[in-house]
Amino acid sequence: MSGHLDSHAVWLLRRALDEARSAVARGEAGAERRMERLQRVVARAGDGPPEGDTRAALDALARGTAAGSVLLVGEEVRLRPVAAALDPLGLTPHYAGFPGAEAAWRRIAPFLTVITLEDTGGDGRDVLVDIAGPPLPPPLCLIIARALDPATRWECLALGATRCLTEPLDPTELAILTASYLRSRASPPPPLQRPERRILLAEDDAITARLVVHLLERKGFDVHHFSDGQAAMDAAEAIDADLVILDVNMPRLDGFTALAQLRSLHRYAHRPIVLFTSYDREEEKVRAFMLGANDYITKPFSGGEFLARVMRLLEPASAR
Amino acid sequence: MNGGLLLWSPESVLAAALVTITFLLAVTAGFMLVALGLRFKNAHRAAAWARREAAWDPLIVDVAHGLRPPEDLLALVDPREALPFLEYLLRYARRLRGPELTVLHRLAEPFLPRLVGRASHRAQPVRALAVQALGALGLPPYEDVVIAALDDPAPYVALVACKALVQGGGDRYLEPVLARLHRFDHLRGSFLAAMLASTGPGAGPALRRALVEAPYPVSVRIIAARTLMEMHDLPAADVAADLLRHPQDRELAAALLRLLAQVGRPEHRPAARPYLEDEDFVLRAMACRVMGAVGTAEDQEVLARMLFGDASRWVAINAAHALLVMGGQVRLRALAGAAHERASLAAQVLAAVHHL
Repeated sequence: MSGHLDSHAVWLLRRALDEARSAVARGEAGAERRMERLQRVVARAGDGPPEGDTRAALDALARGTAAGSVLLVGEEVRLRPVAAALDPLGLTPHYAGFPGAEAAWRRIAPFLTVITLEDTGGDGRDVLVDIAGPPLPPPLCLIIARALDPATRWECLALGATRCLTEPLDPTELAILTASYLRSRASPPPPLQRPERRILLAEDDAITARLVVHLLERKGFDVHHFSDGQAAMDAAEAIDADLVILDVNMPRLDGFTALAQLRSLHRYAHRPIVLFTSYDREEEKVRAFMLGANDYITKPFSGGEFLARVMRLLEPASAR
Repeated sequence: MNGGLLLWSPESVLAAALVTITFLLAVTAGFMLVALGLRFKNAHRAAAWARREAAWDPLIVDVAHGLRPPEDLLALVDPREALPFLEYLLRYARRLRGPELTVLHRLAEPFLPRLVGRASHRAQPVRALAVQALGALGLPPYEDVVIAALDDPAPYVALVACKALVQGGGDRYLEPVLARLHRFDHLRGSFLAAMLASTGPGAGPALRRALVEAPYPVSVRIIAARTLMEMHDLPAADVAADLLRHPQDRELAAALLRLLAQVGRPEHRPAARPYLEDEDFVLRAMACRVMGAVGTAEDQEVLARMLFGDASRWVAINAAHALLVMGGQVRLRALAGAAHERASLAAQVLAAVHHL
């Protein structure tokens, strides 16, 4: 099942299936239908996701170089406020009823699909299965309803909806949601720095390490993380890092000692080394610079400042 | 007698033993079942917790760094999971600041009202956690709750509130924190000073006011002096010098002299000089330090006399250090070569400097 789905989608489906099974066991009305819908989505998961055109079109829209379409499925009178809210984003609305929704979706290839959950014409979840269920997720698919119970909300998310909103809708929230979603789904811009520059990170706190590794890898760095100073020292020669980031308080070998030892190695005598610590006292900062640190970043940290300092140190010395 | 024998016949003894053994086995089995049940419940809870976090983990870092909208993560949080989710966010909030922390505030926002009631829960750990989370993720909207927790009957909860206000609000909440700082007199001054200094240079005016104003207990004024020293707050030197011109509590006077030694200027010398002759050796030692920073050539004579003549060795060491700082290395070297029992002390100070 997980072949073409990310962990988020798999988790949602598992949760919705568990709930649907319980509902069937309890004999709840509509539970069989819920189960059937979810099983269709699971069965289809091996078909593989669409790529290429959808991705390219999304990127174009996010860069503001292309207009897009929005498909509004359900009662037109309920969907007009949605169209008005999305107008500033340059999305062209197309209305469709439940029976013709799938055909309209394939014809228009919308960036955004908004479906009313229940109307006189049918059930929005059936439309969702046809057009939005994994592994065929459109960029953004919203379900709107006058009221939503938690089980229905989970089911809609598992079937591929991005968000479930209750009416009356807040037009500003809708526009912001759409804009931020489109921006986030666009491919990241190519990294400005040379790719595959290696960074050696010694940090024993798993959460901090995760945040830093993610931040640096997004910028195209090859990050080698070790959770104690000694392990980082042992691997330092082999890694030949362009920059070293050292926590101070670590098991086996603290950051100050590791810094002193690195500076004694020929390879690291002049490479940038940053101390990254929650110690904010003058004595520690002075000690770090006396031992040869190029920078001293304190925790808690902000990603932008952290990256700016790291990038600055990786510039050629003549550019600094 | 016969009745008694009948009662304790071998059969009845055996029956009583069997009943007792059965009862004990039943009790043991009961305890085992309860223990197993609790273990199973804990394991089940831990597994549920791990499942929840496994669902949030793929998104939290992207969301915190602004690469995905917060709504993506919020869509995975059931309202019933509000408290575990807030605890989860708290782990990240401790490590981030700036725009990332703002994103965490947005993620926490819908669930924070649940914590307000818990901030007055009868169990101390529950209150502490609620106050910590509101401080890290809900300032300023929930500042009233966190400030009120400074008066919590449990010192631990009050300290959590104090740290939360200092870390989450910078110098904004310094006044209420200083007003309750006397509650933490049992803690190390260096810890409290470091905590207050982390609020940044904006805290200077409030701390200088605390240094001067009588309503603050002496212990708080001492912490204010230590904090201003850590912050290298230059305007604090004028305040300290003014205070030292009048009799002060011994500990406060020592803290003020330490502050002057750090940030004092030559015009502050007259305020500190009388303390070179104070009967308290601590104040004399601190005054030596001040002279090292702001003294004149005339003071070198006095310091040399104190090095050889003061009854306290500690004062003598501080006098030697002061001489060194004032550029009297040659003089100190001469004193180190003199035929005097304190000459070795001057040599030690010189050796320590050369070792550095």
